[in-house]
Amino acid sequence: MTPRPPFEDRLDSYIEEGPATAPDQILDTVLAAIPSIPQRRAAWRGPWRATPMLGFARALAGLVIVIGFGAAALFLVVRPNIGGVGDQPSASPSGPASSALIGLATPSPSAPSSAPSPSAPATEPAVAACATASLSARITLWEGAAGHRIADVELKNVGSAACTISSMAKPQLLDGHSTILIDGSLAKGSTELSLEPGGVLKTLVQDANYCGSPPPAPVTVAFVQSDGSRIVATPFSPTDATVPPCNGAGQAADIEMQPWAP
Amino acid sequence: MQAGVVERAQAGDQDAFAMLAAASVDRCYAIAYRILRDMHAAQDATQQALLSAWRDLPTLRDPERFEAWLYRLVVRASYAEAGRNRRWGSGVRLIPSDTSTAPDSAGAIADRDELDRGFLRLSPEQRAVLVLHHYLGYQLTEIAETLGIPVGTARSRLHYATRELRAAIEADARPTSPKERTA
Repeated sequence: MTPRPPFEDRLDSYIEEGPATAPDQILDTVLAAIPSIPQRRAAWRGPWRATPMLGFARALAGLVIVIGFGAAALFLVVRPNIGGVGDQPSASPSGPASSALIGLATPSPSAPSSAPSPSAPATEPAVAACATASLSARITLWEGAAGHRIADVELKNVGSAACTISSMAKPQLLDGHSTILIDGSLAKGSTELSLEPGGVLKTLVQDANYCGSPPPAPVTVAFVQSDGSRIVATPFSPTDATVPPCNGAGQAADIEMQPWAP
Repeated sequence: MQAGVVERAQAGDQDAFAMLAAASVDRCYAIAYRILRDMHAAQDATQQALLSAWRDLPTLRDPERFEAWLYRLVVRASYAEAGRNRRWGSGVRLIPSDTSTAPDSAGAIADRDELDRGFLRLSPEQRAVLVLHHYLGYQLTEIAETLGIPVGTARSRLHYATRELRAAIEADARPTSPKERTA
């Protein structure tokens, strides 16, 4: 019986073995897909599943951003009261002075000038949660990968006031009759993001393994918030019926989202 | 020369990216396969990594570091694939190695099976460290840089991965007596 080689050598040999060349199909698919995939220009946004930051650092950075937005919003709400103007700085007749303090908030054109009372308390809530009606989501692109489909989704605050939204929601894939084709789950680790009027957040929604019958168009994605409200994205097109390929009828379908980010 | 091609691809030149992808795809696939030990999952992970690379290339600050950056995307995509397979309960399909056609001794086959079973018990993070070290020949600092983790973390992952693999193989090789206890 020959003696066994040392463990490290066996491990080297084991890891070394396996294919050294990739199937042509990979490169073909990638090169066919890239003309329809826009490159990201926002330098600070981390790439899909490849953010160089550690999880803790990412959470810390998110916290700092939220605190920053919160502090700025609090400052904007409290500061006009000091001058006795009220809690709607954009509606104040002393426009130039108060709007110079705003910095982050866009003036609200529809705010009634009679609404605030000069004696309003200085401890107003900083920024309210976004109402579904003040948000508009749309799919800007469907991308393909082997076994998956990825929707690029934009979310815009179409309301007149800044509001906050959770960075994560429960994603769903819906058909043209609003029937849920794939139901996701609410991911942990959500943070609150502040969204200015006209501000846009983006995310990617990846789904896989749809083995049902062809759905009625248009297919779209929806985001169920922690309070149960649902944001349904405008489909990519009225005839779009993009669903992920069936990888195996015995396997569960899957849908997941990246956190909303600017 | 590669830095120039990377810069062109960063500026949106699809032909330049095609050159980079063609030059890297084999290595990316080899890494993904060795982490996942599954051809289909490795194919998905490689594809996902290359698509991410195109999309996020403008965020790469140093074009000289393209290769390490790309390997990081491959490792991350492999983690995602491994998680997906685990969540769906599809298990990992074992693919016969290229050496299966060569005459091999029963001992060598048993050796390989032991390693296979032990390796698949490791977490994807531990497998990635082993692959970067034993396949690419990376040292700890290079592993840390590629994975975006501290050197200490890379060291401990490599240490525990090796130890767990060795322990798993020894446990596999032990006679299967239910009453057996080791001190």
